[in-house]
Amino acid sequence: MKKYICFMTILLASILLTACSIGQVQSYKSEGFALGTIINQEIYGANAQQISEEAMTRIKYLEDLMTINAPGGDVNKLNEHAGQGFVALNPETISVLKTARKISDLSEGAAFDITVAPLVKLWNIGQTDNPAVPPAEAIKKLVPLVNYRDVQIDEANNQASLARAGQMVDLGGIAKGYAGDGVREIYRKNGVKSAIINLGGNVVALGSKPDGSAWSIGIQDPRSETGEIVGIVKVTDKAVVTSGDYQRYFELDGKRYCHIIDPHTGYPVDSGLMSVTIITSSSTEADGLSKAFVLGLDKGLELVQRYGQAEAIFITTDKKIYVTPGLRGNFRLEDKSHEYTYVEER
Amino acid sequence: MNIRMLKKGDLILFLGVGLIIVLLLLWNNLSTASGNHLIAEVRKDGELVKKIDLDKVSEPEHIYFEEGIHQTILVEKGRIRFLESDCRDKICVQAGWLTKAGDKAVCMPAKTIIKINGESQQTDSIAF
Repeated sequence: MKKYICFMTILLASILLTACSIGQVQSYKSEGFALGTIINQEIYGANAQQISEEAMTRIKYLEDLMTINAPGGDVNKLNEHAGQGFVALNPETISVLKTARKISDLSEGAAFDITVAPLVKLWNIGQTDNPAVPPAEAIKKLVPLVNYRDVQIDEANNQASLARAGQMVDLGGIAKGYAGDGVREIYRKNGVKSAIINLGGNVVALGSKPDGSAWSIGIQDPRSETGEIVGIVKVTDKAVVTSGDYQRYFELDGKRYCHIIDPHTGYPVDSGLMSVTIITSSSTEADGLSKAFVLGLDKGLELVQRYGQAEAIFITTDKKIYVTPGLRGNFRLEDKSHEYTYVEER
Repeated sequence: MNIRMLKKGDLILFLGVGLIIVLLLLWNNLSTASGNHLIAEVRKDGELVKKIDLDKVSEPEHIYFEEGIHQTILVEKGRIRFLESDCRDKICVQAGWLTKAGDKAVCMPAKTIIKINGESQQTDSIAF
């Protein structure tokens, strides 16, 4: 009799196990264009299509508010009034300006500074058919305009100002992150427990996968033209944001000029890094913090440490991969090119 | 368990259980395999332009976009790619052939996406 119970248990277990892999939960997926990039959503649960549309509406609203690539919106308003006192702004813009300030303070503006806009505009990297290095004189003239402390924020009255004429703010380094947090809020508000959004490479994961396992997020190989990955991290309820020298750049005489401008020198970053990936709860802060890219490996890692609640992956130009202690045992090298070395202990 | 204690009926039960497990596994594999045709989608500005079963393509086929940014997409058996594009960076063309489920190539300026439906087995999303 015992034997039969044993057999029946095995039989039942096998059927259940096999059945489990058949009955997978379906997700709703959508694709759209906003923020100058592609937005992918994957939502598990009821009303997913409607929720994804609400998310897109929100993203486009934030884009209109924070863009400097089209007329109108808050940031243009702030820039047009540079040196002319306070202007009334949307509380959302104020909130982004505040987070930008917090992240800038961590490096005292060495890594991340939203007032680098005049130089971003001068270099215009990735926006023109005939890229060129601007004259050194022109760069030298603009560098003194860069100072995030000149963005004064009056939170109580929802207004802000830029201290000096000619100064400009560009939220390109943080707006995508903010939009990611906004979308996650929309998911939560609608009762979604499990979703993932990818805003042009900025990943925000809500909860875990429906089966309770962590999401697998691929980290792109910074030198792969076909978008291959170098590794995978498992995350639950986290944002994963990368800054690198490969998203937008031009090459001239064998030198790579990437789209991220060093706020202190006024030149494209050349820090010995190809990419920095930040993993933390806030996607806005992850976006800002990923500009640790500007500082190079050692100082960049220090910056992440100072922030305290983030993990990070640094990839150097000599193709070595470094991770923060909290990612050891989580980051998995998946490098088809066999060119990268994962340095587990420094 | 002592083998000598097994009776004929036990063996039949053994084989029966084994057979059921094998059948279930086979059925499971087949049911996923049947949905395993490589289906490619071409989308322009979010709208589906064409859906192609790549396993059923016999002759190479070109898809042309003449409005705005000129583009040519080439479809062959089991694969699809951007062949030419008038966009600036040509990231879409550099992406090369898409050959497996989850592969995707995007032309941002033209808002054209080609992709092969299905899940990437490896990752849920890619940070870049």
